[in-house]
Amino acid sequence: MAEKFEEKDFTNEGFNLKVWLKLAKLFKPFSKFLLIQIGLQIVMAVIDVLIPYLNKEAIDTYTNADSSIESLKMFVIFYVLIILSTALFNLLYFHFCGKTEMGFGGELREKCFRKLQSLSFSYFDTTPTGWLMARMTGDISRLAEVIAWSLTDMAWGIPVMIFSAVVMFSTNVNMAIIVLIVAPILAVLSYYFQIRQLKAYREVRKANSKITNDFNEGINGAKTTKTLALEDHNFKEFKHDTKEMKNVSVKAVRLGATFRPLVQFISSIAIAAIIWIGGDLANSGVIGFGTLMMFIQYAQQFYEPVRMIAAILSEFQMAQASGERIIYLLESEPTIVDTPEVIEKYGTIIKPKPENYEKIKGDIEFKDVTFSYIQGETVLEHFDLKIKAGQTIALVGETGSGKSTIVNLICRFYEPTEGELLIDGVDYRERSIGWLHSNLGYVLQAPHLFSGSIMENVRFSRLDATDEEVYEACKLVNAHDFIMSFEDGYDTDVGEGGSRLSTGQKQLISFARAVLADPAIFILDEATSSIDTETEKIIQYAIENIMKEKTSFVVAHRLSTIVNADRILVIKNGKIIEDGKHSELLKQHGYYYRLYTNQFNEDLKAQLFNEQVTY
Amino acid sequence: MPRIKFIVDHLGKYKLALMILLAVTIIYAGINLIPNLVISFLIDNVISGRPVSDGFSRFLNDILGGTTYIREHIWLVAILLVVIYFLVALFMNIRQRLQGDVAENLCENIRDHLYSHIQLLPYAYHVKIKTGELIQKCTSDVDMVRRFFSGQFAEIFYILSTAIIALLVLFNINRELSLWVCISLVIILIYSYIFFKQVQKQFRLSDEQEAVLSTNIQESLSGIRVIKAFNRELYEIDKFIKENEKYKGVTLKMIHYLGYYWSSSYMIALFGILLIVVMGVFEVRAGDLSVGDFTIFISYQTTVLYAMRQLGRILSDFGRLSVSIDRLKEILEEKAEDIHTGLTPSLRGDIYFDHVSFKYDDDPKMVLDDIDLKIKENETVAIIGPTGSGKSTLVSLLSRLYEPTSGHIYIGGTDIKEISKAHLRDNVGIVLQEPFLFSRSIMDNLKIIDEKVSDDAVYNATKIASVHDVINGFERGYRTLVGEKGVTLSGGQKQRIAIARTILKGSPILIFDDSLSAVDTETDAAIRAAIKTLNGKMTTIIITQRVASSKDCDRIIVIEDGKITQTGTHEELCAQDGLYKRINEIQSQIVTGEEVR
Repeated sequence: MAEKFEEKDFTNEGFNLKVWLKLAKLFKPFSKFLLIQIGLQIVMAVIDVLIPYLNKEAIDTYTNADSSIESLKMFVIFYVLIILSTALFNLLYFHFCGKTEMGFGGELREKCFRKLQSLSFSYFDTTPTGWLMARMTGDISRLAEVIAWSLTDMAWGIPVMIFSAVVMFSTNVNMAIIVLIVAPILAVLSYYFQIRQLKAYREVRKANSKITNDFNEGINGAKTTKTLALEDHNFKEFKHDTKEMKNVSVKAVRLGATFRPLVQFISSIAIAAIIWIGGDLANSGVIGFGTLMMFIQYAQQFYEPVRMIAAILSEFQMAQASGERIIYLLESEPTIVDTPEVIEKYGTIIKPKPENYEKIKGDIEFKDVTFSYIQGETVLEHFDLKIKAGQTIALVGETGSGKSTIVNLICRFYEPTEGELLIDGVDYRERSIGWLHSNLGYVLQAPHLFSGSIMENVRFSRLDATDEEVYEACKLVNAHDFIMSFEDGYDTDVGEGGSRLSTGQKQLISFARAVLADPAIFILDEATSSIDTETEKIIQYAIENIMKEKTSFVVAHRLSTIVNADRILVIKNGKIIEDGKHSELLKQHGYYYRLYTNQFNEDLKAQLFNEQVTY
Repeated sequence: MPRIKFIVDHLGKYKLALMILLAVTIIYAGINLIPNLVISFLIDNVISGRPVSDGFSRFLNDILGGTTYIREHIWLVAILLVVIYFLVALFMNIRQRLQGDVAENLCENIRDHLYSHIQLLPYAYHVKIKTGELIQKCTSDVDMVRRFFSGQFAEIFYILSTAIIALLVLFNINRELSLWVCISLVIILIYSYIFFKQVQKQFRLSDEQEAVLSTNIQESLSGIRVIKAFNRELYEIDKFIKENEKYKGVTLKMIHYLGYYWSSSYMIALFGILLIVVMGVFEVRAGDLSVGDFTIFISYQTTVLYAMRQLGRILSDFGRLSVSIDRLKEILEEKAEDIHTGLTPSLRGDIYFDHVSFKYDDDPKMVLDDIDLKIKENETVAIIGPTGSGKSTLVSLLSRLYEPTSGHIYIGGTDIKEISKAHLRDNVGIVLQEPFLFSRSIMDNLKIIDEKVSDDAVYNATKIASVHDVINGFERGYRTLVGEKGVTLSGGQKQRIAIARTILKGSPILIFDDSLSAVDTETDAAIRAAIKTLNGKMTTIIITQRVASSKDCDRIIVIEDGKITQTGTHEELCAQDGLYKRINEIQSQIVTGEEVR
């Protein structure tokens, strides 16, 4: 599980048709908006070319004293109509772009989220949260934005270019060639720079997230830093990172600072050439004065769409990488799935049929179970274990002995590689994951709370529980008093991840949460390590009461939690080396005895063996 | 004003660069307007043959050798234009480079200042703050400043100088028409400013909802175990869909507002142009305006109108910039600790808490009440007591994470108030209950104390902390990367690595602040036994809740409600009625298998 997550490389440069086809399929419901957007863009492109033409009309025609005031009025009315319609089209364009962006982005996000919820445990053990967060936020937003806005910007740029080119060629071929000859140079240049700029920005983002991480560590680790007096050391490292950040940022800025002026200068050469040649032509009366003006204006305007399209193309390349990653996530398959027959009967996680869920009695049996997280590294081998319903089983052993694996298998977070696991005599794979999980009560060593009130957090395990039932559960685990001591009582906001509560308080609440679920199978994974002795003692009885009728598993370092278990299993290297009640195991004078006496009575041990504790 | 001072202070040696940037921007704005004048001169005076009237045309006429000569050699104008365009490009390049230099250096300085300042803020500050919020300020508020200086700042001056120069040219041509241009500019500026401010509110709502949505995703990813174990996938999906819909709603609204803004301001600009077009037509008809000048009017007005719209936007952004600067200033104005001044004596010798009391500033309750305690050099002392009794506070006072409200603490006879904090903390090694490991390799985490320490010394420390074999058991051994906040390691493993880290410091005083709580009992005993072998060399204080950890200490101190209620050895305390005996009974009665009810 500790293996490093290896990110699939998505930075290949080529065009990936397969990804775009898959994305197109996802995009389909929004394609009508996109068509409207493109239509609007084309109309607006025509208007954008029309307005300079109207101005020229005014100059050429109406400044002439011969033209009638009447026709000027008509001109003004037409101009006003053009203005109003362009404003309207603009508004509509924003409206539909927004619809596309939000609709597509929102749907992708929802699809990905559903997928995440359906993926198995092993996926989250090997995929860092940060990676998934980046897919769910940055990548989806970028993709939706590029498709909604940039794609349709092309629908503006291309008509503007074609329209202008047609007008120019029909007016004067030589001059048109001069304007157009520069275009491909600019296109290539723009594309080249855009790609490099995007790469430079990627560097900047990388440096930036390093700095964010530094701040994160500097602030979260401030107490440790203080107690170890590491301030100067940390600052030296941080300075190195900010310097790096500055260097890559300045590099990115310089790239931009070369690019824009270069493009402008190259297009200005075309303008100068037009003036030279066009000026001579106008002088010799070959072309009119208005034509020269028009060409100058086109030379000034023509390159903006060229530059824009180059920019969009490179944006698309980035979006493709995002798209690939999103598709990769959407195509991840859960490793633990129910068979079609099981789904038929019990439904899926998303569409459960709880009316078909059998009640769990709680007999559990490991039948010749072999298991490994990574192929070749077996954690359990031909493991057999039979547990009667209602028993409390304590699992004892060193870190890495296989205790947690046993728990993970019972919860079907993982499935046996070989052999089977029976619940009430039936292989649990013959019933659904939802069936099992809705019968589990699970308390973790590092309790995880969700932001929101204490009430919401406890109720998480049983959504239809009444307030009274929540109070009851909290009283049972002795959490009620400290909750009531808060100003807002059960409405107290626990903060993100429960950050406003102490570890002990969080544990008690996650305890109450499991109690409220009233599960058939109870699992306490190191659940009481941060509760002080006296409180622990008090809950102890509560726990025992609750567990009486349920099959329960307790994984613990603190042995006081497990003394009253029906069975204590000592696990070592994936094998049960001792099995029995507390008193029985003590009599065996084996591993458990040593562990136990170490903890509670080193004096006694010293007396019995007449020796110092050796390790 | 204090905001400007904040910027100036952090500019460092780039103050001059900022001045040059301003000058370059204004020059750039000026020459950028020249090509249009040259083109109008060419068309009006050279090709159409109108008499040269205004100053600039006369100047061009003179240097290029008169209209007739130019008409024969139009390439002269073309070359002149290329030269001017070259200058435009050059100044544009200088401006952008300077902008980048100024903004990036400014932000580097701000970031460095923030980081070093936060590191030096007192412990009490770090206990109270919300880390997420602080990190947010350190990143996005700095970025706000960066964005302003990397573009908007110079843009303001560019727009203003363009507008002024253009208006000067226009007023020179036709006063009445220029006045109308002025009016249209003012209207679009005010309109943009007001409208965009409204749009911004919607922006903020969208940003906030985006943050809510991210938190939602983040939490359901980090809590995935719990969600799956309770079969709450559907519940999470529903919750997510609700937030997602809300986000879509507010953002769509924001895009709509943006749509209103762009289309309405575009409309206003176009009406402004139409006004000048119509008025210009009448002026030309009346013979008060030449056609060439009319085109200058239209092209200048168009340029400046859109620039003004931009200016309105930038100005309405100002509020956000001020808020960002204020927030950064607020962090920097928090009083930092001085960790370097003070004595640096040898910190061997007895520790003496001389009638020490302590309470937190904002809470009247005494956390420690008149503690009078002597700990002899090289003694091993356990402190035991219920949660919240003041145990941890007591040891925080020893390394001056907090200062006593009254009383004094002496180490080797020196009042620790006189000792430099860095020196004190170098010598008082505390292992926290929830230690922080940095996201780098385990080896680097251990060597963070001193890069020059040998690998053998590291191994020695990890052996004492009973973690050497565990680390070697990892696939990548000491090169294993500690995940974010050390998530790939168990709590106990983290604690033990932290213990090794502190042992490496070789401090004469070693404190375990309940830092064996997540370690199993056998390992706990092994660590304590190993430390005992070092004991001749250090004073050890163990804060614990386990009798097993305390019983073989030289002395046990029981603290309840901020007071020392019992002191003595394990045997002595077991013979007394009191908390210790009670804890001992709870924890060891079960040894015989009895049930305590």
